[in-house]
Amino acid sequence: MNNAIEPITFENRNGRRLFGMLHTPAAKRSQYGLVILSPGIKSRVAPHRMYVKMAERFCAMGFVVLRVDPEGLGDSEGEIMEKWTADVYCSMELGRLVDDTVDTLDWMQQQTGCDRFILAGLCGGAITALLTADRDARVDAILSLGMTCILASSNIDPAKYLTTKQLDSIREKYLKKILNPEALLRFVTFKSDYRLLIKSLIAPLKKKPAPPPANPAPDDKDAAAAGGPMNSNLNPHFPKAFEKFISQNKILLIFSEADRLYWEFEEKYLQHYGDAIKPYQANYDIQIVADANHIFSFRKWQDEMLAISSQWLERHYG
Amino acid sequence: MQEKPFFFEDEAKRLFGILHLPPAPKPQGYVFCHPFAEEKLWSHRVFVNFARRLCRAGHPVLRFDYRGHGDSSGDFEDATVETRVADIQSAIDTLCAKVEGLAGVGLIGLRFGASLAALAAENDTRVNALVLWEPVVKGAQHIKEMLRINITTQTAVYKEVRYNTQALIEQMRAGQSVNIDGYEIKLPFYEQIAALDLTKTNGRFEGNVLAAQINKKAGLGMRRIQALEKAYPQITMIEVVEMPFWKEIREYYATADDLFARTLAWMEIE
Repeated sequence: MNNAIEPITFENRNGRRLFGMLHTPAAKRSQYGLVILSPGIKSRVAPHRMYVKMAERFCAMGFVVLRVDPEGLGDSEGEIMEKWTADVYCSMELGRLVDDTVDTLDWMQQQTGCDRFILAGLCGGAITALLTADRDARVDAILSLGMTCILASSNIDPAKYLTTKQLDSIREKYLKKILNPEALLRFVTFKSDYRLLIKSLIAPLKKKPAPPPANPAPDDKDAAAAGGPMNSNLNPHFPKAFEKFISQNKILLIFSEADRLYWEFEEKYLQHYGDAIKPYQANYDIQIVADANHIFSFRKWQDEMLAISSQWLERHYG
Repeated sequence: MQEKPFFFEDEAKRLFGILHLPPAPKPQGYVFCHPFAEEKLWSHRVFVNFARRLCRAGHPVLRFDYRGHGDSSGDFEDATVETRVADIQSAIDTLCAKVEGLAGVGLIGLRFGASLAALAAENDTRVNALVLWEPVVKGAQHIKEMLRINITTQTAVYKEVRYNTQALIEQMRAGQSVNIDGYEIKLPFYEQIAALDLTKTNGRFEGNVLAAQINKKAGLGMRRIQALEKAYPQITMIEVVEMPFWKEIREYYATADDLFARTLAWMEIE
C-alpha cells in the first residue's frame, strides 16, 4: 500500500471553510501529527512547492502530515483586507493565524487520532507555530525554517531597523556600483536612497550601537524591562513565547545563511536574550544552511534543509 | 455554490483541481490556466476570487494545477509546454464530464498561463472563448527574464555571477537543470518556451478573444500585446490598470477590480 494523499476541508470557528491536503503514510510509525503552516501568503504549497516536498518526505517517514490554507489565503474561504503585504505579515507575526491552527489541530485529532503535534513552517509559518504552542499544550515540537522574530510594517522607514549584516551587504553593493554609469546617473538625479547610502557607509565607523532614546516607544518598554533591545522592531511576543516553549519542548531552528531573518535572530534576539535561554540549550538546535537564501531556492539547499529536518525528526520523534 | 477539491487522473498524472459549481449552472464553463512558477503563488488569490465571481454569476469554473505544480503529481522539471497543454485539455475533459449540458468552455489564463491557454484553444473545438491576461506573446523574452532570476539569486548569495545566461543554457544542453526561484527547468522546456510565439498562430483559434495588457498607470498603451491583433480574427484588446500582482509587490492583491470589471463586461456578465 502506498502513502495516500487526499484533499480535505473543514470549517474553522468563524464558519469559514478551510482547504488542505492530508498525507497519510501506508505504515504510521509515529504517534505525532505533523502540521505544516502557511508561510506568509504563499498558502499550503509554499515557494517552489517546498511544503509538498516536505510533506512527502515526512509522510514517507511514517508521519501523518497536514497542510492547510488559513482563512483568506490559498483556496480557503474568507478574505484578508489589509492594503499592504507587510501589514498582512505583521498581523501574522502577532498571531493572526493561531486560531485557525488550533482549529486545524482539533480537526486532525478528531480525524486521525493524533493528539500530540509537531508544527513546522517557513517564516510566517514558524512564528505561527511558536505562538500557537504558547496557547495549545498539544504542541510538543517545532520545526522552524527561517523563524522571524521581528515585526514587519508598511509604516516604517525601511532603513531604520537594518541589522549590521544587512548594512554590510548594502554597502558592498553600493561600493561595487560606484563606477557604474547607471548608478552614478541615479545618484546625481536624486533617485538614490541617500539615507540608506549614508547609513550603510558610516555603519563600520560606529563601534557601539546607538544609545537608547530617552523616551522609548511603547513597544520598546516591555523589551527594555526584560533586558532586551530598545528602539528595536523585535516582536514583543517572541522572547517570552520562545523561552517558555524551549523550557519544556524541543525546537529545530534552520536558518539560511544569506537570509536577513538569520541576522535578525542573532542580532535582535540572541545577543540580548542568549543568556536567558542557556539553561535550555538541550532543547533547541540551531542549524545554518550555508549560502542559502530565504526560500532555499537552489536544490542543494533544499536537500540539506530536508536532510537536517528528517534527521531531527527521526532522532526525537521517529 | 459548491467548491469541491478533487484529483483527476490517468496513467500519466494525478492533477489537483477545484470545481466551483453554482446551483443552476449556465452552459458556459471556464477553465483557469495559471502562470509559471512563483507567479502562480503570487496571483493565486486573484484567480480564486475571479472564479468565485464567475460562479456567483452562474458559471461553472475549474481551477487546477498542471503536473509538477501546486498539489498535482510529478516533478516540475519534467513538465514541458506540451504536458501543460495536455493538462489543460484534461481539465476541459473533466469540466465537461462533471457538468452536464455545457455548450462551450472559455479558457482564462494569466501570463504564461495565457499563452498555454492560447495553444490549448488551437485544436479544441469545445473552447469558444479565450481570455488572455497579460499574455507572454514571445516566449524567448520570457525565458530570458526567468534565467535572470537565477542570476539575481547568485548575486544575492555569492556576491558574484558564477554562471551567466549563456552558461546556464549550456548547462541545460549538457543535460543539467537550471534553477529558477527554486524550480528546476530542463532543456526541452527551455527550447519549447523559447520558440513560443503567439503571433504565429495565424488565427487558428477563431472564437472570441480578449487580450488585456496590465499597466500600472493608465495611458501606457498596449505595446506588449499589440502583435496579437493580427493573429486572431475576433480579438478585443484592452488596457487595464492594476499593479503586477503576479510578482512580489508592496500591495496585497486578493482581487483585481479593474481587470475583473473589464473582463466581466467583455463576457457580458453583470
